[in-house]
Amino acid sequence: MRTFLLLSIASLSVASFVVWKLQPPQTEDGKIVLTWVSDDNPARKAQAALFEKLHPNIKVNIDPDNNGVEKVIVQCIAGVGPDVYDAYNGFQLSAYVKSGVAMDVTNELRQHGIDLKSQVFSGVLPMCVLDGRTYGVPTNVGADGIWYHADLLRQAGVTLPKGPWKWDQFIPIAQKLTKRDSEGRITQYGFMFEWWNWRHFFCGYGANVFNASGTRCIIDSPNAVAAIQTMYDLVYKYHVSPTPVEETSMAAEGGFGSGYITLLAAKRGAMAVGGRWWLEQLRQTKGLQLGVIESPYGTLRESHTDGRGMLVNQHSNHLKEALELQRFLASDAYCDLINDQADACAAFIKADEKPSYFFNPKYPNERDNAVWLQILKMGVGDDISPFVDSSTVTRLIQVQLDLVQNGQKSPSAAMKSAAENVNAAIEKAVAEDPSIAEKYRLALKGTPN
Amino acid sequence: MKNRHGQFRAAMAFLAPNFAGFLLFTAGPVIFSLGASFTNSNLQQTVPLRFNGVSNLKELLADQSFWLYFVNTLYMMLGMPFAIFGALWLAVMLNRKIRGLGAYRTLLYLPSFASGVALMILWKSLYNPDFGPINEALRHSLALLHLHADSPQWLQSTHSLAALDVEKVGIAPKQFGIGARDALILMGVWTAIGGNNMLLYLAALTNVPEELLEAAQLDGASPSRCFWSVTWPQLAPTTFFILVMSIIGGLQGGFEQARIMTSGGPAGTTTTLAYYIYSLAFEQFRIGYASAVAWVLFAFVFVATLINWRFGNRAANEI
Repeated sequence: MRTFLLLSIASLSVASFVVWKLQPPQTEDGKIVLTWVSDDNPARKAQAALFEKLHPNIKVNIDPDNNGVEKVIVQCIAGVGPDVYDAYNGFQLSAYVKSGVAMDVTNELRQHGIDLKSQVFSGVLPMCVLDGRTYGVPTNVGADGIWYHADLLRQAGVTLPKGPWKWDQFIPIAQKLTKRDSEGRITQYGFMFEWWNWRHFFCGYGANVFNASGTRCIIDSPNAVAAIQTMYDLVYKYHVSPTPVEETSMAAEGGFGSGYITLLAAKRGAMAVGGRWWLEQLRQTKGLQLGVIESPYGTLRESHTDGRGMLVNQHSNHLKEALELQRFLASDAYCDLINDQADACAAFIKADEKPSYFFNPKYPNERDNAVWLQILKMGVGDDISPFVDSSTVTRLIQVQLDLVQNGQKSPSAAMKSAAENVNAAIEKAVAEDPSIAEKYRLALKGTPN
Repeated sequence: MKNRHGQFRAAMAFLAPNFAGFLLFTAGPVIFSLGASFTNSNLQQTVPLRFNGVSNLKELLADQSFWLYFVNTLYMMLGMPFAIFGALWLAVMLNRKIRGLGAYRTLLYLPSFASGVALMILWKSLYNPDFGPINEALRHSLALLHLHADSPQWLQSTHSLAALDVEKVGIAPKQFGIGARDALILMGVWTAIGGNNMLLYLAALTNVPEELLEAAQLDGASPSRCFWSVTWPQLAPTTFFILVMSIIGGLQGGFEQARIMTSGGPAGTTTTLAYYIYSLAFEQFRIGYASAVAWVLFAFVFVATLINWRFGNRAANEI
């Protein structure tokens, strides 16, 4: 028995040693390895490669598998988090900051002459700046316009207006572009949009989720209801956009670029809401005659800006190198690469004003870059409340949007419930967190409600 | 005596790695979550940790979402009897001496060792409302019968056969129909029917004494009489075990399906308590409250098992 036990211990030790030797090295050829949690966009590899070329002592590993707020926070707190990671909206930035995993880089950036407020599009600031402190540097910036198939429009005898336009001008055009087969099934949708993109419609109506101080959810305001009503009507009243069932029927399981981008490329829709970043995928389908126009609006000519902000894990073992990678995002080389890849647009305005942005000889048919710039200039970022966590708000709104999308509830009733539920969540959060209670009280005093 | 001491030490040495793992990865987190359930523990550092007694429990009692998701959990367990009886039926079929028995057994057990995620993605395609084979088959069958009815919208629908309300606990007639919850039940029954339960029943069937069956046959008992009067009572302990394990699994279940197939939607209809705990802890960062919900779920499981043990075990022994 004793021999067996000793043999077991010896074999376990040998196995442990082998595993220890087999583990991936912390450094490769003496290089420092940085982990960047981001999405599975193939463009990310070239971006990392460019940084590696400029910093031969650093290797960047992209980790899309852990791209999730909860994963990043738990891993960072546990000491095994990535060195840098992306925040996709103000909600996420707020969660990272409140969890204490995002490093405050305000002074760091200032020392290197990077001033986000004057150098980047304002719509991307909510992903990087919170309560006056800077935590992130934007990786890119995007705003949605309307993609259209010029050939399909020609065939239908449709001409789009040159200047700004409204939803009531848009709907007859979308109806004209909606085609059905002999059984009445839609073979070509006039217009495709995704329900998670409700903020796009909100901006066109000047609607907000919260009041200016963030103390109250106002998603039941007439403007917000009108925005959701427009989404609902496009599906159920005008029948120009897919219902959830039709959407599922067309959907494919897939990674980056699946969904409406592939459906637009396959001409399942004549027009679709989307950003410049769709080009990454659309460039792969030859022979498309695509154009871009700014989105119609309801009452306010604004567009919703999205993008990503790269944050640094303040528990990173390679802070110096992580900060270097973050600052690299402000460089000309990186911004030019973003514009060349069409990974949306470079967030630093100077890069989007270069002639090489407006005309890229590699893609001579892409003549709408000026339109994207115009849309970006009208961009506004997410409005968030410092008094409630983002995922709670998203979940509460999503439940109500599901009911609207399924035709179970009217937009006004759903938004009323959403506002009530979010306001209850704010009250609960304020009661639980003394650090925000005082701030909330002061904000209430200064806010006309 | 010395030899026994040596053996004891060796046994302890062998057990030590497993015990250390248990302490570190099971007992430790369990004790931590018990402690956390009486605090406002939050992953967001702006919330100072404080002991708040039973206020999580009080909040839970008034939490509409908790009760909605509890009802979802119970509703999704309705497939359990079908899964158990289906497994029994399959085991009886596979206990016969037929050609290609090994192949049948392998085929029926296949879903149990296939990747769960892959199966769920497959079912998602099967449930495709327009082009999925289930609705295609339904449409053709209805056309053959000259019936006109809309095909179910499966994972996109908030309906349920029990007409469960979506926003509060109760019944809403307008919610009557086949919806996402029913789709997940159907998938669950399919997965469970040829799984471990079938194997357990197969093993139990081989232990039914042949002489009892022969005696019954000699007395002129029909095959069904033989089954219900001889085989079924012999299977009672196995059925009891399967029932207990299914109830425990059912109360804790629904996470993977929600995560992979529906994200808990539409409108939270496929969110179960297990998924709610995950959402509270890792999406809303409310570790304290999530722990309280987890312990209440444990209490439900414990009480259900006690009731089973008290009445089910007695019934199993009396048969």
